[in-house]
Amino acid sequence: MMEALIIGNHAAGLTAAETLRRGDSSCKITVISKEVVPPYSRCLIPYLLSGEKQVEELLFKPASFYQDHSLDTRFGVEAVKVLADEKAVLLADGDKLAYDALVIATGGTPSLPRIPGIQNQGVFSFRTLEDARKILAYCDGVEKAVVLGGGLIGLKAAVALNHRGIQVSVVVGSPNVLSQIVAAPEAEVFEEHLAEGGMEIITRTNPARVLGADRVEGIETTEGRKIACQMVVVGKGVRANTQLVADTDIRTEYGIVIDDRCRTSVPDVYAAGDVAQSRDDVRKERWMNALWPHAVEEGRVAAENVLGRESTLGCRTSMNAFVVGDLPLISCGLTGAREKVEGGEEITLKGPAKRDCKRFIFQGGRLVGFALVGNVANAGVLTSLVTKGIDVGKVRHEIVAGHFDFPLMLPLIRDNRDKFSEPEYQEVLSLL
Amino acid sequence: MKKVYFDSRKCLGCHSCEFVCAVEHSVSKSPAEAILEEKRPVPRRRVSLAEGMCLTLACRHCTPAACVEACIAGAMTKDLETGEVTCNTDKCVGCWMCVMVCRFGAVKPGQIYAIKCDMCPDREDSYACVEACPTGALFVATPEEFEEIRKHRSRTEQAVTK
Repeated sequence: MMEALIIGNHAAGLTAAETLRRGDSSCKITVISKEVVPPYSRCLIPYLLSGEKQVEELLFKPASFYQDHSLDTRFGVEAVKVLADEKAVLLADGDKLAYDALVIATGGTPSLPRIPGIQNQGVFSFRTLEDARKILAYCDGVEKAVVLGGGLIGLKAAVALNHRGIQVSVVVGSPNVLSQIVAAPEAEVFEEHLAEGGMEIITRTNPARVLGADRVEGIETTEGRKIACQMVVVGKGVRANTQLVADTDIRTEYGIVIDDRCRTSVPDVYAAGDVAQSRDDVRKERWMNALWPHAVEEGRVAAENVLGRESTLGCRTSMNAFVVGDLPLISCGLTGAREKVEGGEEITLKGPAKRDCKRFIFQGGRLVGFALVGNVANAGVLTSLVTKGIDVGKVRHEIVAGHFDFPLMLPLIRDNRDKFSEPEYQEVLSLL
Repeated sequence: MKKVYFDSRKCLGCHSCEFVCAVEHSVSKSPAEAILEEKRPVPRRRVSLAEGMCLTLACRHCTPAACVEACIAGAMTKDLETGEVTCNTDKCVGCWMCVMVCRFGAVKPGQIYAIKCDMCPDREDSYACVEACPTGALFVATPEEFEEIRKHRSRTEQAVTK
């Protein structure tokens, strides 16, 4: 009987467990996690912080998931070391668990800026249920909070705190919020929208220290400006949790390097989710795309390969969907945000609604990225063109005119049948 | 596992499927009343012109389904027996991850939650769009039946070209 170990209890780990159980009713599956929590979705914790949802509404699988799938669990204990030679995993309590197949889905840990006062009471990261609960427990008497970082995590925390009636200032080092995701004009639409919602956005500003002897009393910026506050929430990026494979033959760069079948450089060891560094079809190199859809796909593909199927990851790149109130954003691939696209041509479109804007980035004949603000319908059609690296020459004028619903892509699909290999495309095309 | 398929040669572009889909997803399920409902019902299917022909498109209930894998709320799920992909609108938080990954553009961002084909849950064993299609351009089949139809058609087409 095969024994599978899965380290991680979130999107990637649970998807791997579910897929394994569906494919093999008899194998022994053990899920290991430092956290002692039901199967909740980390992406939903902003709704807990804002007060829009209760803990039991954050579950993305039923609470009975572990029983339903006959999973053994080792919660509340960290997996500290992979002993690849012995095919075992060492736990913090000294236990050693043997495996025939191992899926590492240990996720990431939020980075904290190394500044004085960062250990003060009232400084929080915002990744886990525990983080959200700690923030909530600290909210009493907090009138003003400073959020460090203007990325997705920072802004989600800011919006949630603002929703609770706490005054929020977002301190952003870059010239704009969302600087990793979109270019300045799209970011500015969001800055205006957040300001209208009552949040203060302070860009090109970095924190020098957290003020207060023990509890947070404010922050001081590198220019010496002091902002009084009773709480600081940090959204400054995440590091992959690769410690447990240090000193092993499992190859790491920014995360654990995986191939198209989610295999690491060591046999029978797979990695999935935020800890994994996987193929990016637009950048043409391995990239840290810590995204929910990628995590789930990697969990599934890892498990399918454990089961002996040779399934592979689909076409993929970075992508994000972000909504503040009634203003949505969807971006994918290279968006002119952090990297200049060599030989790229950017086309932007404003309107018809006041906040609507679109940006398309072409390189050669390909669409290598886009960002849609306001009207995001049919974004997935563009996502498929970006990830598949299709020459969009034939329909380029339609795309830049903002018309990109699926039927307009038919000529591209006919020309690139090998790339549009999913059976659903054939279903649609074969009786046209 | 049955699916709704489409034969473009039989499509008149009459938009009946779109219309009945909206009505099916109204509160009253009656056209005259549905149009006046507070939330005007939205069709899950769309008829459009492409390459000089008509095409009606709704969710393809993909396997594996990108929208299901992208859903952060556990709202979008695939029924393993029927193959149907549906959105639990009580759980959906409107994050539009599904919109980001649907390659057919068949998941629409609604006011609050994602809107897509739900295979007419209020009906016993029929689909509004298929029932309303006057020419049989929309039809229900198993993947095996569909394969037969497809083969038959490519044979007849070859015969015609010869």
